[in-house]
Amino acid sequence: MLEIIDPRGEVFLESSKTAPRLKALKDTTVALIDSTKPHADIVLDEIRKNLTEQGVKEFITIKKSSLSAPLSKNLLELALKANAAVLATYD
Amino acid sequence: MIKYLNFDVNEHDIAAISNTLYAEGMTDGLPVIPPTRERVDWMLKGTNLDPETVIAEVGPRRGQATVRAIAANAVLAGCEPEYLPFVIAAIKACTTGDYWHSDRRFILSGVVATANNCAVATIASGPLCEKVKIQAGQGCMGSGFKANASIGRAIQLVLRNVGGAAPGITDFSQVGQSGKFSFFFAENEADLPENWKPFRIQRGFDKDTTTVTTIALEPPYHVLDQLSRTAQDLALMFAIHLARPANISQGHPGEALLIVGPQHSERFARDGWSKEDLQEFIYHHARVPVNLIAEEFVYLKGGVEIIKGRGPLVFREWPKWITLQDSVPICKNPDHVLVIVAGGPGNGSMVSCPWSHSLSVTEAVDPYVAR
Repeated sequence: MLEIIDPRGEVFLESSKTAPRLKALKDTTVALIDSTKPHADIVLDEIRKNLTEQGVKEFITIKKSSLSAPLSKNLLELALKANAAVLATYD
Repeated sequence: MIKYLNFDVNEHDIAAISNTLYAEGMTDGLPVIPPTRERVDWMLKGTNLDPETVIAEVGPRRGQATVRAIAANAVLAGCEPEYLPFVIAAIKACTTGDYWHSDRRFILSGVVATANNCAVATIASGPLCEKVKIQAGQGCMGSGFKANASIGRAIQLVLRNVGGAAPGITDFSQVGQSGKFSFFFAENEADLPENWKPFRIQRGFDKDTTTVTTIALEPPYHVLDQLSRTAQDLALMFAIHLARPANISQGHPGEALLIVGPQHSERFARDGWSKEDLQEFIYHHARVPVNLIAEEFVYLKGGVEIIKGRGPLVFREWPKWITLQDSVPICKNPDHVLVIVAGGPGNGSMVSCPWSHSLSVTEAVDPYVAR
């Protein structure tokens, strides 16, 4: 039998669940979050067009200060006003 | 509180133990020494800190790097107790500024998660390096030196075990690099030219303090120069190697690291160049013509004027006056050109650029040393 000290360290964060999927997109508000990664804006433009066709009523456009920074509290609060959010994270 | 893990494996069978801990995702694939209570207590003799002291929260997992957890990883890596303060200081340095808590920003979660092939490199500077036999001369970035190998490995294992860095899960580095096993060496102060300041002094520490500096470094590449007879010619060779479009392709100026071989540093010093002269020269000459990168990347500030096709990616942090006819520096200012003398005899040096979102951070080792 081997007994060792756990080299991984504790984690004190509570795990969170993803929000329930929207039943319909009609008349909803969607936050489009641009990570500022190259071409994220192009992806979001296409998504905006697609979601508009599916009946989304309003978009909240959000641009992060930097791709490597977390979303600021103010921008997070803005995103929370939407029914759903799309985050474009990659090239 | 000490958390133990129990495994049904013979405690004397090192191969079986290594395979068991590898299967648990706790190793880098190489054999390890099991961090039993006895061995971790022995490792903790290297510091006076309370083992429960939290040195950092290590991203992206956001695990608590207590002194004991760091010591357990130092045991895994094969460290001696006198190496532990270097590991602690490096973990402190490379977590400074993650989640943007500080202007001195080492964005560890990004460094770990990025597709870039950077690794956390650590460079020591100061009197303790010689005491614990950290190699600064011949072959210092290679294998064969216990302190370099095991301190660097312990740092990487903390990032893996406490920070959760795991290829394909949180670490999306495209091909990775060998620095993700171990990347630790010291400044060669013995061969530093007379008028060149040690790196720690440039960073505001005093001569008697020992420091570590962590940098999110792409694999360095060799600058062979046997022909240059003047400091300016040699500096131009460095500049040419550093002026790569990829360095600034994200629109971010970052830092540049020059690991200058003693023969090259002597050549600079002979012509009267200080470290600061070299930094200034690199800042002004390691520049990339905008038209080389315009097709893919460059748009003028504000995204108003799109040079070609794919806007609007903002070419951040450069002045508005930049046009297609200009060249842009790879760093924001000369202070972001880091010059370290290291290695042994030969006509080469090494250069590299860090992942540009992260900046290097220097931390003193002495506060963590057992007295």
